[in-house]
Amino acid sequence: MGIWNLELRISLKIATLWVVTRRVKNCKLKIFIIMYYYIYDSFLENLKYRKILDRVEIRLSDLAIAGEASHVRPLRNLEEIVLEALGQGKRTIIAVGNDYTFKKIVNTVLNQNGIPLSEITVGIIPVGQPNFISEGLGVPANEMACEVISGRIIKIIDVGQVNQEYFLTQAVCGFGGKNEDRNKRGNLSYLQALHYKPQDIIIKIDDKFQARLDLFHLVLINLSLKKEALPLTNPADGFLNVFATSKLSPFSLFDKLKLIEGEKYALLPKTSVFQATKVQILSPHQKQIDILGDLQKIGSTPATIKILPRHLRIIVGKERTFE
Amino acid sequence: MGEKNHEETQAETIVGPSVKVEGELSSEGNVRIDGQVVGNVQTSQNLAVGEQAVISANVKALNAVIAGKIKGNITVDEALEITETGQIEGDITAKIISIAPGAIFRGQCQMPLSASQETAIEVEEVTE
Repeated sequence: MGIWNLELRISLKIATLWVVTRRVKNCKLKIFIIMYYYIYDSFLENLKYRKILDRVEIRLSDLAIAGEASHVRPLRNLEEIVLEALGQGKRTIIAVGNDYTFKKIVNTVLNQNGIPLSEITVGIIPVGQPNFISEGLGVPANEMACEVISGRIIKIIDVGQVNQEYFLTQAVCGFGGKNEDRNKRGNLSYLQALHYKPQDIIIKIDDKFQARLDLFHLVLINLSLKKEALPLTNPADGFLNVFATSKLSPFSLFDKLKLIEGEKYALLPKTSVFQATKVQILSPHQKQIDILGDLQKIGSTPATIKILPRHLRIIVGKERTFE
Repeated sequence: MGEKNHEETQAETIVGPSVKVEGELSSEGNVRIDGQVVGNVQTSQNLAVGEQAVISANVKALNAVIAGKIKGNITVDEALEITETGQIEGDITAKIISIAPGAIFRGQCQMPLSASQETAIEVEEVTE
């Protein structure tokens, strides 16, 4: 059994398994080899993930898409691994881990200049929490994700940018920007944020006009996280969908919070809606307001938020929130 | 009126109540305004101006329904409807104009004719 395991591990490490596609063009058979490179985050060293990872590796092997793998270690960080892999010619990088793992890989890919982004594809096998991004991409957790990787549906999506930081799904500030710990505490974190006081804010849209309001909640959506979101956004349209909600009555606040939690921004009253490629957020009273991107703090006001159209090739599942 | 949301209005751009917009508010989709706008408003689709809206701007749209206050010239390609709560101070241009009783309108009114309508009028003049 031990030898078998060792053999399996060695084969997973060194074997470059392929997906072969045949295209007949000019009566010649062309063969394309796709090499997957898997990067395992360091928190997966925890024994509680061992069985899940075993199942993932077996499934990858069954589907003939196992490939070279690297594990993040204290002396070998994720960024180094990604850059090294790209330098070695790997072009399909798969994160094994949570949203944070995936975001770090995406950031590294986007920040490097050596290889055109049109040649690089990223994907995720979600293991551990949080997993909001993968839900939006339609990638199920654990070994179920292997089918999606194997299916290799690739979409080229827009990427949002707050100052110099990137986000794939949404940037949030105001009430929602107080919920950085939502990942850990779930919806209960909203209770802590109920003391949030609306703040005077100026939102400049595409250098054409500016809106000033007592802001309760501001969200700039590139990719909806939930299929029941209203409206569902298209992450390949080259626009950010901006929803700015003014101060709400405290009597109906809980109902409104449910709408925010369910991403049903179209049902929120006192909400202004714009489409933009560039948004500047200013707080006229000099008070800094936090901005979350993909539910992590990535900046504060004053901030410029842009959309980088069709910027990232990404592997998605059939259950994704967009076409 | 102020509680209308995105889903009910089907508008792609909405200026909510208690929001003040300054500048060139332009859109390729339907627009709804319930707040204040200073500058210009332009859309190639439909415009709805709510009762609470106060607009100090020149306005261009395909069709428009005005229930709020506008100070500025309004140019509409097709139909302009001013409801009983509407107040307009400025010139209006539209092919079809409807002003409800109770609405306030101070300005000049122009109704451009299509080529066929102009021909019909000329024929009538000749007949007389």
